[in-house]
Amino acid sequence: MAINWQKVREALPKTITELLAEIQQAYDSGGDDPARSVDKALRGKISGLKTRFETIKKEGTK
Amino acid sequence: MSAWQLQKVQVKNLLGFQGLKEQHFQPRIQVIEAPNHTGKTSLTMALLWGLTGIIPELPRINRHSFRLSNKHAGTDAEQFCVIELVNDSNSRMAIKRLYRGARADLDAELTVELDDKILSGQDAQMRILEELNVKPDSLEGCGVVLQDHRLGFITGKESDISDVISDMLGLTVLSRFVPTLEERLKEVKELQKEITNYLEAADPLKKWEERDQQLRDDFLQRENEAIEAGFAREDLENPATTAVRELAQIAASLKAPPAQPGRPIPDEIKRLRDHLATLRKSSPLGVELAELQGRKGQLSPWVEKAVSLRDAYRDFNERLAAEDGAGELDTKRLTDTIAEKETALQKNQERRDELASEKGLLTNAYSHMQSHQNLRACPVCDSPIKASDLLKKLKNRVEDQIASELSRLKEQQKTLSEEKDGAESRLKAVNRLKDKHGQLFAEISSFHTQVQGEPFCWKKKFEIDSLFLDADSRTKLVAVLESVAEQLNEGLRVVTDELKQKKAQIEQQEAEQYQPAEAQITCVSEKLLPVMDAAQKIENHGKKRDRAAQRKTELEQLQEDARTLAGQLQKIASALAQQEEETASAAIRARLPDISEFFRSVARNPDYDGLDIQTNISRDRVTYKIQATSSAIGNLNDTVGHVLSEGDLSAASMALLLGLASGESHHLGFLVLDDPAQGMDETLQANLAAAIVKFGKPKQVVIFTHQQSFAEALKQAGAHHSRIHSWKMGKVQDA
Repeated sequence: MAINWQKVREALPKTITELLAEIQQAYDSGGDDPARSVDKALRGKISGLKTRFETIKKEGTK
Repeated sequence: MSAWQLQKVQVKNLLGFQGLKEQHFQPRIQVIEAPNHTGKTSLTMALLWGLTGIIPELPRINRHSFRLSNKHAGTDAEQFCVIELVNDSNSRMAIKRLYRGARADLDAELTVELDDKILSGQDAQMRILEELNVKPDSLEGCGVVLQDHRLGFITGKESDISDVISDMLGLTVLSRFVPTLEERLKEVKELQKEITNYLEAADPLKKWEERDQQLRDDFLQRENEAIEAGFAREDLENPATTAVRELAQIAASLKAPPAQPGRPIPDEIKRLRDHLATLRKSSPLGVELAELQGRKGQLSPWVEKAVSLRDAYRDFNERLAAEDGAGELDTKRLTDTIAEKETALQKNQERRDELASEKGLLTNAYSHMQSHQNLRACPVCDSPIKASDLLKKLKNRVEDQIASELSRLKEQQKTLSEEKDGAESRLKAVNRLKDKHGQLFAEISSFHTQVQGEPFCWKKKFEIDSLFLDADSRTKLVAVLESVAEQLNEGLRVVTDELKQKKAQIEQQEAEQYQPAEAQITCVSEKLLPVMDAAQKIENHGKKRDRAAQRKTELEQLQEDARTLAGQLQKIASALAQQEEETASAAIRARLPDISEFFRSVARNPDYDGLDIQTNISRDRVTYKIQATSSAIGNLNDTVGHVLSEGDLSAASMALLLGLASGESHHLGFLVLDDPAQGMDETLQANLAAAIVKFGKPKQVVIFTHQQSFAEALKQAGAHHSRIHSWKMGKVQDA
């Protein structure tokens, strides 16, 4: 069964639209394994946060 | 997509089959009656493996010791499973898995023939999934249902039931998608926690404030020290200006050139210190003091040397005077005496040798004459001889005259030897004294050379050998040394007094001129400079504040971003779970009448005549609870495993399996069931047979059973019937 993204979107606050769109995009481009594609996209997003954190921490040690 | 149906399966040397086993399938409902140990489980397992490449996780299968190979066939025997299928369009597909490994699972060579195409490997597996719409990791989804799973999915663990039902409802994508989001959500939350912990433990601004406070405390301490040293508080408001002003005043007081504008204060302090050192060095008092110190340094060792030489020579002189009274000091005379004694000793020896010779001769003559006492004349000259007179004279000469002289000579030799030894011993003693005197005289001469030109230096010359023998000369030298020591002592006393006076003058100059300037320089250096340094550190540290504040803002923003992401993921996961639950609930509601009807028609349980599946969301996971219901008693809803008999559970599992898997999401053209009537009595078996035939979905249902009554019931209900009933040494044969 395909995910009804419209319905999911309606169930969520508008502030989440952007992230939901990213997830949907990853999902739609995921081919046979959409969950993996979404997982990869989210890992990339989290990795961005981690990199920022590491940079700030490194700056703090100077 | 057209539904595929099983047409034939060939199994060679796999599981319970030694050699080739071939089983044909009918297009509609078919029952294959197979008593226990005839290989029906092997056949269904082979079908599963052939379609999916997977051996299911079953409690009764030990994954470590399990082997797909038939144990009687031998390791070199060909082992394979070929499944032939046909679809509504009359297309044909043959799936062949050639087993080549010692282990199960996918260690096989796969080929798929589809019409005129031949695929292999991963492409072939993908094509099977696509054509059959089967799910390799979902056993029910592949259309081959083992006994364990059929019962397991209604009485097993909640998570297992949820997985099976989600799959049969076609919700696997959703049910697997949410855990993915949750995994990442967990990661974000961990990051969020890490950021929070970091902020609490190492808040950049807090760290800055701690250091800032330290620096301010340090500044206050130094400021207080400067105030205690005499600086006014207002002077410390701009310590650099105060320092420049103070140093300018010091430079003026020392008559030093004015400082270059902009010169660093530490450099100016060094310049003034150097200038002060130069002033001290070049001061007349300083020069005189240095000269006096030099003169004192010169006189002090001379005084010591003069006193030392005077005392040593005076003692030696006294000793020499005593020795002079005890004996000869002149070594020449002593040497002459020794020579005289040696000559006398030699003469003495010669005379003693002559007398000894004469004594021998005369003794022989006396002996000879005694035998010739009658001789009256000399036999040579014929002179008359009186033998008795001759013998008397000979005896007198030997015994009186020679003996007396020899005795006197021996006495003389003893005396001479003693005198010679005495002279030699004295000579040695005098020579040692001369050596000692020589050393003393050399030291005195060296000192004389050192003090040459000094007013106290003596003019008189002394000769070493004369001094040794002449007591008057030695006494004069002692007097000279005494005089020199006295003069030197006096000179040293005068210089020491002058030095003392000079130091007092210099101290006065220091106290009046240099020390105030030096104290001022030190005050600036040790009191004002630290205040300036402390102020500079505060200023520098202040610049770091902006950066620390910026970092804190960045961290807080990052924390907020992580929190937002976590919150959003949480909401999306919840929304997706909600959608899954709603979809599942709707699908179940649509199928529940058929499911209940199937259960009711098979079980005919007087208390429970229906089934229900409750959906729920727990931690963003959709869970399912299968209950038996009663139409007579509305609130009689109980978990199936708690209230149904084994036969009824089999009926319930079949009702759920057929009811759920027959929905839109499944396109299976076939269903293979292994002993579906297990635990049922003959009545329930008949009911199940009738229900399966009546249900009609999917079109092809292959039922393996060991129950003859069930096989008969199916046959009666219209199913095609065949039988496997021979088993010998792992080799199965058809009837």
